[in-house]
Amino acid sequence: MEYPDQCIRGIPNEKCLYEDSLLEGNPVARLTLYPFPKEHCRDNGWIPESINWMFDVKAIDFTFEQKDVDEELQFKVGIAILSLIELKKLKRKHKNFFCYEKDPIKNNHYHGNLLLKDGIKKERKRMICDVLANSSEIRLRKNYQSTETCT
Amino acid sequence: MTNFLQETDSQSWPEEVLSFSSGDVTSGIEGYAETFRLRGESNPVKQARHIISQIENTYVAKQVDRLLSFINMIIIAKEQEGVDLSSIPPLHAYVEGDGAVSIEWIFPDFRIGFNIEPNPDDSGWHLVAGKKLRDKTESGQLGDMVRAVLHVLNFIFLNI
Repeated sequence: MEYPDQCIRGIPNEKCLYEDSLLEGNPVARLTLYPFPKEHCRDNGWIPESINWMFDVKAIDFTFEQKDVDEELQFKVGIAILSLIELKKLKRKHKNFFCYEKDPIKNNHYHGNLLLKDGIKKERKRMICDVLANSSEIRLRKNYQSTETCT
Repeated sequence: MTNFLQETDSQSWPEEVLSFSSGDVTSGIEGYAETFRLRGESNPVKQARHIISQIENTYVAKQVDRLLSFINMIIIAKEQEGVDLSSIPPLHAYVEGDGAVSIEWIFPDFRIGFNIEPNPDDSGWHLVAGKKLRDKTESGQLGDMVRAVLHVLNFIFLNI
């Protein structure tokens, strides 16, 4: 199955970033940007986290403009871009624990999921989430202003 | 380099960990922590320590204090050996919704994380590196905190 070279993870709030960590002038994602909460676990034992596949350049604007159930902007902070190369590396290293899929839904044909196996050790889960965070290229909204300071 | 998962209870430690030069850290660690706290904190640890007053679970608070104190002790000892550690960034610490504490350390080419849990069997550490360090990943439990921290700090000192 063919996948695009990149996917997009929306950043809903500033707790997903380290506000005082800038690498080469760019903000840095925390591993909490990819939480994979147990409550979302599917019957098959996989926990999904939504992404949008970058089938075309419009996917970026589409993600920035996504609204939540209250018709507010869903990703107020910005977006994180992950490369398929990094996802493939992760899948190869952690077979049976990490995967990804296309999952088009109503009103969003870009939609897909990163998948993490439920029941793995916490430190392994955190490691995988941190690989994703470390691989994320962050793009903030143009008018984004931070209101919090991290510890 | 082969990436591997480590379980601190069952792993045989490389020589550089066992021969760490900053004195005997396998006994009296609590005493060392007290001494160094009185003398002042290294900058990387100071910020993270503020989180301790926010931790409701006394066991978790104690383990976080122990972890930070040990890291502080090793950093100060290394500086006293003449190693320039001015580029070491501060640790970030967060109290999570389930009562655990997450300690995260972000370097330009790698990241280190510790999670201190109310259930000690769930506490662990991990290391994630980028392309420059061949995408190295490791993780393990914190059953033997001293050895785990020494291993992690050795990696840091070799790669900063």
